[in-house]
Amino acid sequence: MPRDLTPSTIENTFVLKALTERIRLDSRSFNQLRDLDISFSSTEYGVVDVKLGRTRVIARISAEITQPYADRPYDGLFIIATEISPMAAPTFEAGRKSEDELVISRIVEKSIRRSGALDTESLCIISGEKCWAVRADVHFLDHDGGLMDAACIAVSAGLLHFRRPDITIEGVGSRREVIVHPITERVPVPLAVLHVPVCVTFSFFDVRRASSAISGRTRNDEAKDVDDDDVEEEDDSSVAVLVDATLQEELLRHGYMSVTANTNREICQIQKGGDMPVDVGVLLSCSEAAIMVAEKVTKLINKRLKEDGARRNVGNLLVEARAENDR
Amino acid sequence: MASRLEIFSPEGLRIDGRRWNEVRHFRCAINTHPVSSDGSAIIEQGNTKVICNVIGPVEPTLRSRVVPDRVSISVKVVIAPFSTIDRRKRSQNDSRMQEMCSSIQHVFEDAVIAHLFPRSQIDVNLYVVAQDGGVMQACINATTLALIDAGVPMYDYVCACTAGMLDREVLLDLNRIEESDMPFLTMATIGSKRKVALLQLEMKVQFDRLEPMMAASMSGCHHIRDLMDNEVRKHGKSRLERGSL
Amino acid sequence: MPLSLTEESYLNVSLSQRPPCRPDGRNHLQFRPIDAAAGILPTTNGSARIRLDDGGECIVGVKAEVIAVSRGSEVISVEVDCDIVGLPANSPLQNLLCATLETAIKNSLPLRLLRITNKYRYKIFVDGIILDHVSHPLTLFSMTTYLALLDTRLPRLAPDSAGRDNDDKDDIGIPQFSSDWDDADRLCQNWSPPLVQLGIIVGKNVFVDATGEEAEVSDGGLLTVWHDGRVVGLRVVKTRDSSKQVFSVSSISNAVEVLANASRDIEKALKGIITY
Repeated sequence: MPRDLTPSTIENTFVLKALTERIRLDSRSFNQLRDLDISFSSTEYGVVDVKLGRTRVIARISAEITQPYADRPYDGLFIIATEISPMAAPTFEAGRKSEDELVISRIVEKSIRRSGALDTESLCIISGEKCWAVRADVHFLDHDGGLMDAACIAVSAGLLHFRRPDITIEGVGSRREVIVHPITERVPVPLAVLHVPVCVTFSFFDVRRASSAISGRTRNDEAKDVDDDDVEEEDDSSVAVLVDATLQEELLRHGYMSVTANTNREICQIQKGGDMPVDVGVLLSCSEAAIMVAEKVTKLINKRLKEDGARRNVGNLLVEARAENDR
Repeated sequence: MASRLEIFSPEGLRIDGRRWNEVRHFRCAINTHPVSSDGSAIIEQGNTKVICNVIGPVEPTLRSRVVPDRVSISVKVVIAPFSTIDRRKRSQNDSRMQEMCSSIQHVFEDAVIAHLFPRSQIDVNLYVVAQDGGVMQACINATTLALIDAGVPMYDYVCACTAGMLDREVLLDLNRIEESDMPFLTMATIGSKRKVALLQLEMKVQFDRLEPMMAASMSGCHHIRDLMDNEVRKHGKSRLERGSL
Repeated sequence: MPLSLTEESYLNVSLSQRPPCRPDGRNHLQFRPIDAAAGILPTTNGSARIRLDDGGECIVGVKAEVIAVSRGSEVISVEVDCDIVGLPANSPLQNLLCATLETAIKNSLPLRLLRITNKYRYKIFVDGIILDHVSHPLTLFSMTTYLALLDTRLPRLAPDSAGRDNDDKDDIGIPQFSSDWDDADRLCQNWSPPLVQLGIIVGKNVFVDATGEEAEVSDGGLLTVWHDGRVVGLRVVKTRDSSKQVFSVSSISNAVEVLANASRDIEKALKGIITY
């Protein structure tokens, strides 16, 4: 079994010491995202390549026609597959779900599926008989922290970019037939995306824990410190909050919270794991910051979508192919 | 079925007759399974009932669970098939359940004074025998009490409570019907200050509504902390009187 | 912790003496004190919890579901399931427990008790959690199931739809139940559930309620299914990996007699817990 990466003590103290001086190793400010690059496949719809710093994730959206679940005849199917292969990092083992992987898949699931980013009712073709099954396959290619953020952006962008083939229903009653028109024949149809969720992960560092490690005090002193905390009200400055941590920062952090937000100022999901306890105020301001990041990322996605649309629309072919044109 | 019921009446009463800021009937007992475990507790929050057994700190059974500088905690949750209204058998490998176990585990790994027990393990077994909303919070509260009963040193009580948002109304400590009808969050605090150990929100909610929800659940957590503290002290006193300490 | 060779032979010798000598001073028919409670879970049709002196504990919940059946179907729908903490799903022990109880209940439960209308019938689910067990959990699980079944109540049909039941029509819709829980029928009003009892055999002696150590030195175990004042089922059970499981006819008949006596006593004790 490949063991988890454990950073050395020297690395640990160095990063934490730097953080107490409000310096990150890659010279970003605390609330700055890494360079985000989103690119779409030029040949296929719904294939997105997201690069967040050195983290790289590819999402591929596909759709096929199946039978809906018996208890939800009006809903289509939407599946997100987030399996992490050893390609991302050697710590991930193929076929065995690690805890990280579980958290990532649950967060992407909650961010996008449970928040209703895709209107599943719009995927219904004939109620109880036929519906679209939309599948998002997320492939993690390189892991330098922030896998869930990148995965979430990739799936969101993929859903916006994807086009499913147009269909028509012929016949009546039980003899209805669904005809699928290949995308070369008819202009494919975009999915009904209701909002664009963007996941942002905040990493918490207990700066005081860092300073005690640097001054060489033992952990027993630390325990005493915590007792003192109850007496004096703490200020927020003991917590360093970092946006979009790198792998190194992720391994060293004392706690994290991931927030999924959209441009409607809605919070779709919050997951603050049980690690380091943090003041409520910090959590609230993080949620607010998440909304700003979401706005920025959504803007970038839209810009890239537009560029991609323009590239595809060479010679205004799409306009010519419109149904309302004279034949 | 839920749509026929009035979740929150214009008079300010909920389906079970509570006001918005009232927690459900809370009953807890510690040291309920003295023979089979080192620490144990039963928690009832409304109709949700959870039993917790703690074994440890003991020497790890597996080499892989040895952590050189701290205690390792493993959490297992068993949800009884008869705990819901309709019988339902849940597999242990359900990803929701695994997530719940790992969340609880992380909460307590930072709440117990872990470095006092290096190279040892604590097993937490939780049995959900009846559920009516707030399973996660009941599990966390039960674990706190059982760990206290086991004599594991902790920084403070970890208490959890849910709060939901119906239109513009905040409701505290939801039952199952309310839970299925509105976005809600589960919050766990440590101690009586504003420290949040765990926060989970699974459904879409307007950002402006977040703060009142968090404030409400925090007050709920503090209330539950007092209730649990009373029980622990009561139990301690009765044990002292019996002279069995 | 496995017993050492010396401990094992000491225990074996003292148990196979006549009269036998048990390490805790009990006689062969004597149970350790148990702590039992019924009706502990309001979300179930019937529930019970039993805790043994050694920390072994079992919680059983009984749930009834309404199922549609074809006319004239004689199938009795009972499902017994249990979760033994610390053991993986479908372990041999779990299968033994579930299968034994399921067959015992199916064989003794009269169909009329589950009948609602011609088209609908109850399906009974018995689910147990064995929180902890030091000794063999079979007797514990059976006693708890017995108590939970005694506690089980099934709602009556609502008064207005009950009348139609007598018309013997097939087209009665989904049955409507009376909402008065206090008025519900006891499942065990005219029926007493089966009770499974495990005894261990050491030499010529039989012991009930064996501790883990006692089972460890036994020649094997024998389970009896007790229903309605007599033994209706019998099975040899492996109590340890190396048990011989070779018994003389006389020791088996002796064991059956001992277990029947024990079952009679337990039945009486458990029935005393529930007051109608």
